Amino acid sequence: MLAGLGAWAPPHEVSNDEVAALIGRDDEWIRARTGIGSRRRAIPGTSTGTLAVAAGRRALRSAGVSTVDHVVLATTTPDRITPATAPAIASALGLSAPAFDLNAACTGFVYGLAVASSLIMARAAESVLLIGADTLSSITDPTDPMTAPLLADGAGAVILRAGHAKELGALHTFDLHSEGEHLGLLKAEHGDRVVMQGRQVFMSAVQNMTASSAAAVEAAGYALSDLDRVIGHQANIRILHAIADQLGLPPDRLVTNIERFGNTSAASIPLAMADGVTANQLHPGELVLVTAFGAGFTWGSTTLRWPELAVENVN
Amino acid sequence: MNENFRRLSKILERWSKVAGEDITPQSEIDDGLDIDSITRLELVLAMNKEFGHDFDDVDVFAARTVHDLVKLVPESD
Repeated sequence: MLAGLGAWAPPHEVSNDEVAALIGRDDEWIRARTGIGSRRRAIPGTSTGTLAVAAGRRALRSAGVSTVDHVVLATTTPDRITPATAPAIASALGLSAPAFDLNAACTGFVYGLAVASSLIMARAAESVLLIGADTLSSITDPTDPMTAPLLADGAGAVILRAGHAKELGALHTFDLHSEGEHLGLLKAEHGDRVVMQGRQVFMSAVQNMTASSAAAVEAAGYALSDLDRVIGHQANIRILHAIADQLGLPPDRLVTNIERFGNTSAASIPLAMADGVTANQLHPGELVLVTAFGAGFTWGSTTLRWPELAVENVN
Repeated sequence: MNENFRRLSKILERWSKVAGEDITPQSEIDDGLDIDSITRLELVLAMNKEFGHDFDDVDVFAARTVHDLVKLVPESD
Protein backbone atom coordinates (compact mmCIF):
# COMPACT_ATOMS: atom_id res chain seq x y z
CA MET A 1 0.00 0.00 0.00
CA LEU A 2 1.02 3.57 -0.69
CA ALA A 3 2.71 5.02 2.40
CA GLY A 4 4.92 7.87 1.13
CA LEU A 5 5.13 10.24 -1.84
CA GLY A 6 7.59 12.83 -3.09
CA ALA A 7 8.57 14.47 -6.37
CA TRP A 8 11.29 16.72 -7.67
CA ALA A 9 11.83 18.52 -10.96
CA PRO A 10 15.00 20.32 -12.05
CA PRO A 11 14.62 24.08 -11.50
CA HIS A 12 15.57 25.12 -15.04
CA GLU A 13 12.28 26.10 -16.69
CA VAL A 14 12.01 26.12 -20.48
CA SER A 15 9.25 28.26 -21.99
CA ASN A 16 7.17 27.47 -25.06
CA ASP A 17 8.74 30.47 -26.79
CA GLU A 18 12.19 28.92 -26.36
CA VAL A 19 11.02 25.55 -27.75
CA ALA A 20 8.90 27.13 -30.49
CA ALA A 21 11.82 29.15 -31.87
CA LEU A 22 13.64 25.92 -32.77
CA ILE A 23 10.66 24.18 -34.41
CA GLY A 24 9.24 27.11 -36.37
CA ARG A 25 5.99 27.32 -34.39
CA ASP A 26 4.69 29.55 -31.57
CA ASP A 27 3.41 29.36 -27.99
CA GLU A 28 -0.22 29.12 -29.11
CA TRP A 29 0.53 26.20 -31.46
CA ILE A 30 2.19 24.24 -28.65
CA ARG A 31 -0.51 25.02 -26.06
CA ALA A 32 -3.37 24.09 -28.39
CA ARG A 33 -1.86 20.74 -29.35
CA THR A 34 -0.35 19.65 -26.04
CA GLY A 35 -1.71 21.72 -23.14
CA ILE A 36 1.88 22.48 -22.16
CA GLY A 37 2.95 25.99 -21.14
CA SER A 38 6.47 25.23 -19.91
CA ARG A 39 8.61 22.30 -18.88
CA ARG A 40 11.67 21.59 -16.76
CA ARG A 41 14.96 20.39 -18.15
CA ALA A 42 18.08 19.19 -16.41
CA ILE A 43 21.19 21.27 -16.86
CA PRO A 44 24.42 19.52 -17.90
CA GLY A 45 25.76 17.45 -15.02
CA THR A 46 22.29 16.66 -13.69
CA SER A 47 21.39 13.06 -14.51
CA THR A 48 18.36 10.84 -14.03
CA GLY A 49 20.07 9.55 -10.87
CA THR A 50 20.34 13.07 -9.46
CA LEU A 51 16.63 13.71 -9.92
CA ALA A 52 15.74 10.27 -8.57
CA VAL A 53 17.74 10.77 -5.37
CA ALA A 54 15.97 14.09 -4.70
CA ALA A 55 12.53 12.53 -5.23
CA GLY A 56 13.46 9.42 -3.25
CA ARG A 57 14.59 11.51 -0.28
CA ARG A 58 11.22 13.29 -0.25
CA ALA A 59 9.30 10.01 -0.43
CA LEU A 60 11.26 8.62 2.53
CA ARG A 61 10.51 11.80 4.51
CA SER A 62 6.85 11.59 3.53
CA ALA A 63 6.64 8.03 4.85
CA GLY A 64 8.66 8.93 7.94
CA VAL A 65 11.16 6.13 7.35
CA SER A 66 14.92 5.98 6.82
CA THR A 67 15.19 2.43 5.47
CA VAL A 68 13.40 0.25 2.94
CA ASP A 69 13.85 -3.39 1.88
CA HIS A 70 14.07 -2.81 -1.87
CA VAL A 71 14.69 0.00 -4.38
CA VAL A 72 13.21 0.00 -7.89
CA LEU A 73 13.85 2.71 -10.48
CA ALA A 74 11.57 2.99 -13.50
CA THR A 75 13.40 4.88 -16.24
CA THR A 76 14.05 5.05 -19.97
CA THR A 77 17.11 7.23 -19.49
CA PRO A 78 19.46 5.46 -17.04
CA ASP A 79 22.77 7.12 -16.22
CA ARG A 80 24.68 4.43 -18.14
CA ILE A 81 24.11 1.10 -19.90
CA THR A 82 25.48 -0.85 -16.96
CA PRO A 83 25.34 -0.97 -14.02
CA ALA A 84 21.73 -0.01 -13.41
CA THR A 85 21.15 3.41 -11.85
CA ALA A 86 19.15 2.13 -8.85
CA PRO A 87 22.10 0.78 -6.78
CA ALA A 88 23.84 4.18 -6.91
CA ILE A 89 20.57 5.88 -5.90
CA ALA A 90 20.18 3.49 -2.98
CA SER A 91 23.72 4.24 -1.82
CA ALA A 92 23.24 7.98 -2.18
CA LEU A 93 20.15 7.69 0.04
CA GLY A 94 22.05 5.63 2.62
CA LEU A 95 19.96 2.55 1.86
CA SER A 96 21.47 -0.91 2.00
CA ALA A 97 18.95 -2.81 -0.13
CA PRO A 98 18.58 -4.78 -3.36
CA ALA A 99 18.12 -2.31 -6.21
CA PHE A 100 17.41 -2.56 -9.93
CA ASP A 101 16.09 -0.59 -12.91
CA LEU A 102 12.92 -1.32 -14.84
CA ASN A 103 12.18 0.04 -18.32
CA ALA A 104 8.60 0.15 -19.58
CA ALA A 105 8.97 3.67 -21.01
CA CYS A 106 6.11 5.99 -19.99
CA THR A 107 4.29 3.02 -18.41
CA GLY A 108 7.30 2.36 -16.17
CA PHE A 109 5.75 3.73 -13.00
CA VAL A 110 2.59 1.59 -13.32
CA TYR A 111 4.67 -1.51 -14.11
CA GLY A 112 6.86 -0.54 -11.15
CA LEU A 113 3.83 -0.38 -8.84
CA ALA A 114 2.92 -3.92 -9.93
CA VAL A 115 6.48 -5.20 -9.40
CA ALA A 116 6.88 -3.49 -6.03
CA SER A 117 3.49 -4.81 -4.86
CA SER A 118 4.48 -8.29 -6.00
CA LEU A 119 7.75 -8.13 -4.03
CA ILE A 120 5.70 -7.30 -0.95
CA MET A 121 3.04 -9.94 -1.59
CA ALA A 122 5.78 -12.56 -2.17
CA ARG A 123 7.23 -11.55 1.23
CA ALA A 124 10.54 -10.62 -0.44
CA ALA A 125 10.13 -7.14 1.06
CA GLU A 126 8.08 -5.33 3.70
CA SER A 127 8.71 -1.97 2.06
CA VAL A 128 9.83 -0.76 -1.37
CA LEU A 129 11.04 2.61 -2.63
CA LEU A 130 9.76 2.96 -6.20
CA ILE A 131 11.07 5.90 -8.19
CA GLY A 132 10.01 7.04 -11.65
CA ALA A 133 12.65 9.35 -13.10
CA ASP A 134 13.64 10.47 -16.58
CA THR A 135 15.76 13.04 -18.36
CA LEU A 136 14.06 12.84 -21.73
CA SER A 137 15.76 16.07 -22.78
CA SER A 138 18.93 13.97 -23.22
CA ILE A 139 17.25 12.00 -26.04
CA THR A 140 15.08 14.76 -27.56
CA ASP A 141 15.76 16.44 -30.90
CA PRO A 142 15.08 20.14 -30.15
CA THR A 143 14.14 20.74 -33.80
CA ASP A 144 11.48 17.99 -33.98
CA PRO A 145 7.98 19.56 -33.70
CA MET A 146 6.51 16.15 -32.83
CA THR A 147 8.58 15.58 -29.66
CA ALA A 148 10.42 18.76 -28.63
CA PRO A 149 7.36 20.53 -27.13
CA LEU A 150 6.35 17.44 -25.16
CA LEU A 151 9.38 15.75 -23.63
CA ALA A 152 10.76 16.94 -20.30
CA ASP A 153 12.66 15.93 -17.17
CA GLY A 154 11.53 15.07 -13.64
CA ALA A 155 11.26 12.48 -10.89
CA GLY A 156 8.63 11.15 -8.52
CA ALA A 157 8.80 8.44 -5.89
CA VAL A 158 6.59 6.42 -3.60
CA ILE A 159 7.09 4.17 -0.61
CA LEU A 160 4.99 1.02 -0.73
CA ARG A 161 4.64 -1.08 2.39
CA ALA A 162 2.87 -4.26 3.44
CA GLY A 163 -0.68 -3.72 4.65
CA HIS A 164 -4.25 -4.92 4.45
CA ALA A 165 -6.38 -4.92 1.32
CA LYS A 166 -9.07 -2.79 3.01
CA GLU A 167 -6.67 -0.04 4.12
CA LEU A 168 -6.54 3.30 2.33
CA GLY A 169 -3.62 3.23 -0.10
CA ALA A 170 -3.92 -0.48 -0.89
CA LEU A 171 -3.37 -1.09 -4.59
CA HIS A 172 -6.13 -3.08 -6.29
CA THR A 173 -5.92 -5.39 -9.33
CA PHE A 174 -3.47 -4.42 -12.09
CA ASP A 175 -4.24 -4.53 -15.81
CA LEU A 176 -0.93 -4.62 -17.77
CA HIS A 177 -0.20 -5.11 -21.47
CA SER A 178 2.41 -4.83 -24.21
CA GLU A 179 2.36 -5.05 -28.02
CA GLY A 180 5.90 -5.10 -29.38
CA GLU A 181 4.90 -5.05 -33.03
CA HIS A 182 4.41 -1.27 -32.74
CA LEU A 183 7.93 -0.52 -31.52
CA GLY A 184 8.81 1.54 -34.58
CA LEU A 185 6.04 4.07 -33.89
CA LEU A 186 7.73 5.42 -30.75
CA LYS A 187 11.37 4.64 -30.08
CA ALA A 188 14.95 5.81 -29.52
CA GLU A 189 17.78 3.63 -30.81
CA HIS A 190 21.09 3.48 -28.91
CA GLY A 191 22.84 6.82 -29.28
CA ASP A 192 19.86 8.32 -31.09
CA ARG A 193 16.88 10.49 -30.16
CA VAL A 194 13.18 9.78 -29.75
CA VAL A 195 11.12 9.48 -32.92
CA MET A 196 7.34 9.32 -32.80
CA GLN A 197 4.52 8.77 -35.29
CA GLY A 198 2.07 11.11 -33.60
CA ARG A 199 -1.20 10.03 -35.16
CA GLN A 200 -0.82 6.31 -34.43
CA VAL A 201 0.55 6.93 -30.94
CA PHE A 202 -2.35 9.28 -30.08
CA MET A 203 -4.98 6.78 -31.21
CA SER A 204 -3.32 3.80 -29.53
CA ALA A 205 -2.75 5.73 -26.31
CA VAL A 206 -6.38 6.78 -26.00
CA GLN A 207 -7.88 3.45 -27.03
CA ASN A 208 -5.58 1.31 -24.88
CA MET A 209 -5.66 3.50 -21.76
CA THR A 210 -9.46 3.67 -22.04
CA ALA A 211 -9.84 -0.11 -22.33
CA SER A 212 -7.27 -0.78 -19.61
CA SER A 213 -8.88 1.74 -17.26
CA ALA A 214 -12.28 0.11 -17.70
CA ALA A 215 -10.74 -3.34 -17.12
CA ALA A 216 -8.88 -2.29 -13.94
CA VAL A 217 -11.96 -0.57 -12.49
CA GLU A 218 -14.16 -3.60 -13.20
CA ALA A 219 -11.56 -6.05 -11.83
CA ALA A 220 -11.47 -4.07 -8.60
CA GLY A 221 -15.24 -4.39 -8.31
CA TYR A 222 -16.15 -0.78 -9.10
CA ALA A 223 -18.04 1.07 -11.82
CA LEU A 224 -16.48 3.90 -13.83
CA SER A 225 -18.96 6.29 -12.23
CA ASP A 226 -17.44 5.43 -8.82
CA LEU A 227 -14.13 7.09 -9.79
CA ASP A 228 -13.33 10.31 -7.94
CA ARG A 229 -10.00 11.03 -9.65
CA VAL A 230 -8.04 9.88 -12.70
CA ILE A 231 -4.26 10.21 -12.70
CA GLY A 232 -3.15 9.43 -16.24
CA HIS A 233 0.33 9.56 -17.69
CA GLN A 234 0.80 13.23 -18.53
CA ALA A 235 1.45 12.60 -22.23
CA ASN A 236 -0.64 15.36 -23.79
CA ILE A 237 -3.72 17.14 -22.40
CA ARG A 238 -5.69 16.24 -25.53
CA ILE A 239 -5.01 12.53 -24.88
CA LEU A 240 -6.12 12.87 -21.25
CA HIS A 241 -9.31 14.70 -22.23
CA ALA A 242 -10.07 12.10 -24.91
CA ILE A 243 -9.71 9.29 -22.35
CA ALA A 244 -12.07 11.04 -19.94
CA ASP A 245 -14.54 11.51 -22.79
CA GLN A 246 -14.30 7.86 -23.84
CA LEU A 247 -14.82 6.74 -20.23
CA GLY A 248 -17.82 9.05 -19.88
CA LEU A 249 -16.16 11.07 -17.11
CA PRO A 250 -16.14 14.87 -16.82
CA PRO A 251 -12.66 16.34 -17.48
CA ASP A 252 -12.53 17.81 -13.96
CA ARG A 253 -11.92 14.29 -12.61
CA LEU A 254 -8.45 14.43 -14.22
CA VAL A 255 -5.46 15.31 -12.05
CA THR A 256 -3.12 17.17 -14.39
CA ASN A 257 0.05 19.22 -14.16
CA ILE A 258 1.24 18.86 -17.76
CA GLU A 259 0.82 22.62 -18.23
CA ARG A 260 3.86 23.24 -16.00
CA PHE A 261 5.89 20.04 -16.33
CA GLY A 262 5.29 18.56 -19.80
CA ASN A 263 5.67 14.84 -20.41
CA THR A 264 8.21 13.43 -17.97
CA SER A 265 7.73 9.75 -18.93
CA ALA A 266 8.07 7.41 -15.92
CA ALA A 267 8.02 10.41 -13.56
CA SER A 268 4.77 11.92 -14.76
CA ILE A 269 2.31 9.98 -12.59
CA PRO A 270 4.08 10.40 -9.22
CA LEU A 271 4.75 14.06 -10.15
CA ALA A 272 1.03 14.52 -10.80
CA MET A 273 0.20 12.66 -7.58
CA ALA A 274 2.44 14.94 -5.49
CA ASP A 275 1.05 18.01 -7.20
CA GLY A 276 -2.48 16.70 -6.75
CA VAL A 277 -2.02 16.40 -2.98
CA THR A 278 -0.41 19.80 -2.51
CA ALA A 279 -2.96 21.47 -4.82
CA ASN A 280 -5.81 19.89 -2.80
CA GLN A 281 -6.99 17.82 -5.77
CA LEU A 282 -6.56 14.45 -4.01
CA HIS A 283 -8.23 13.61 -0.73
CA PRO A 284 -8.09 10.57 1.58
CA GLY A 285 -10.70 7.96 0.75
CA GLU A 286 -11.20 9.01 -2.87
CA LEU A 287 -11.24 6.24 -5.47
CA VAL A 288 -8.33 6.96 -7.82
CA LEU A 289 -7.56 5.40 -11.19
CA VAL A 290 -3.93 5.34 -12.34
CA THR A 291 -3.33 4.66 -16.05
CA ALA A 292 -0.36 4.93 -18.39
CA PHE A 293 0.74 4.22 -21.95
CA GLY A 294 4.18 4.34 -23.52
CA ALA A 295 6.69 3.09 -26.03
CA GLY A 296 6.72 -0.63 -26.59
CA PHE A 297 3.81 -0.27 -26.80
CA THR A 298 3.25 -0.83 -23.10
CA TRP A 299 0.23 0.22 -21.06
CA GLY A 300 -1.51 -0.54 -17.81
CA SER A 301 -3.80 0.64 -15.03
CA THR A 302 -4.71 0.10 -11.41
CA THR A 303 -6.92 1.70 -8.75
CA LEU A 304 -6.58 2.61 -5.09
CA ARG A 305 -8.37 4.48 -2.34
CA TRP A 306 -6.23 7.55 -1.76
CA PRO A 307 -4.43 7.48 1.63
CA GLU A 308 -3.55 10.28 4.04
CA LEU A 309 -0.05 11.44 2.99
CA ALA A 310 2.22 14.31 3.98
CA VAL A 311 3.69 15.63 0.73
CA GLU A 312 6.17 18.47 0.12
CA ASN A 313 5.51 20.97 -2.67
CA VAL A 314 7.12 20.03 -5.96
CA ASN A 315 9.75 22.74 -6.41
CA MET B 1 -28.28 9.89 -44.36
CA ASN B 2 -30.10 12.83 -42.74
CA GLU B 3 -30.02 11.19 -39.33
CA ASN B 4 -26.30 10.37 -39.68
CA PHE B 5 -25.62 13.95 -40.79
CA ARG B 6 -27.45 15.24 -37.72
CA ARG B 7 -25.43 12.98 -35.41
CA LEU B 8 -22.15 13.97 -37.09
CA SER B 9 -23.02 17.68 -36.90
CA LYS B 10 -23.57 17.29 -33.18
CA ILE B 11 -20.07 15.77 -32.81
CA LEU B 12 -18.44 18.42 -35.02
CA GLU B 13 -20.14 21.20 -33.11
CA ARG B 14 -18.09 20.30 -30.03
CA TRP B 15 -14.81 21.30 -31.68
CA SER B 16 -15.78 23.67 -34.47
CA LYS B 17 -16.04 27.42 -34.13
CA VAL B 18 -19.08 27.15 -36.44
CA ALA B 19 -22.49 26.82 -34.75
CA GLY B 20 -24.28 23.50 -35.25
CA GLU B 21 -27.12 24.96 -37.36
CA ASP B 22 -24.56 26.47 -39.76
CA ILE B 23 -22.85 23.13 -40.49
CA THR B 24 -23.96 21.76 -43.86
CA PRO B 25 -23.00 18.60 -45.80
CA GLN B 26 -20.87 20.85 -48.00
CA SER B 27 -18.96 22.43 -45.07
CA GLU B 28 -15.22 21.94 -45.53
CA ILE B 29 -13.69 20.30 -42.49
CA ASP B 30 -10.28 22.01 -42.43
CA ASP B 31 -11.00 25.54 -43.59
CA GLY B 32 -14.75 25.80 -43.13
CA LEU B 33 -15.03 24.21 -39.68
CA ASP B 34 -11.45 24.95 -38.56
CA ILE B 35 -10.76 21.35 -37.49
CA ASP B 36 -7.01 20.74 -36.98
CA SER B 37 -5.11 17.42 -37.17
CA ILE B 38 -5.43 16.47 -33.49
CA THR B 39 -9.12 17.32 -33.59
CA ARG B 40 -9.46 14.89 -36.52
CA LEU B 41 -8.14 12.18 -34.18
CA GLU B 42 -10.64 13.19 -31.50
CA LEU B 43 -13.29 13.10 -34.22
CA VAL B 44 -12.39 9.49 -35.09
CA LEU B 45 -12.74 8.50 -31.42
CA ALA B 46 -16.04 10.37 -31.07
CA MET B 47 -17.40 8.79 -34.27
CA ASN B 48 -16.39 5.31 -33.03
CA LYS B 49 -18.30 5.95 -29.82
CA GLU B 50 -21.36 7.53 -31.45
CA PHE B 51 -21.83 4.95 -34.22
CA GLY B 52 -20.39 1.86 -32.50
CA HIS B 53 -18.12 1.28 -35.49
CA ASP B 54 -14.30 1.32 -35.84
CA PHE B 55 -13.64 4.06 -38.39
CA ASP B 56 -10.25 4.04 -40.11
CA ASP B 57 -8.39 7.23 -39.19
CA VAL B 58 -6.91 7.29 -42.73
CA ASP B 59 -10.46 7.58 -44.17
CA VAL B 60 -11.43 10.27 -41.67
CA PHE B 61 -8.27 12.24 -42.50
CA ALA B 62 -9.02 11.92 -46.23
CA ALA B 63 -12.52 13.40 -45.86
CA ARG B 64 -12.73 16.94 -47.24
CA THR B 65 -16.36 17.80 -46.45
CA VAL B 66 -18.94 16.78 -43.85
CA HIS B 67 -20.69 14.82 -46.63
CA ASP B 68 -17.46 12.78 -47.08
CA LEU B 69 -17.67 11.89 -43.38
CA VAL B 70 -21.35 10.94 -43.61
CA LYS B 71 -20.47 8.54 -46.46
CA LEU B 72 -18.11 6.69 -44.10
CA VAL B 73 -20.93 5.71 -41.76
CA PRO B 74 -22.12 2.16 -42.54
CA GLU B 75 -25.66 1.87 -43.92
CA SER B 76 -26.87 -0.20 -40.97
CA ASP B 77 -26.05 2.66 -38.64
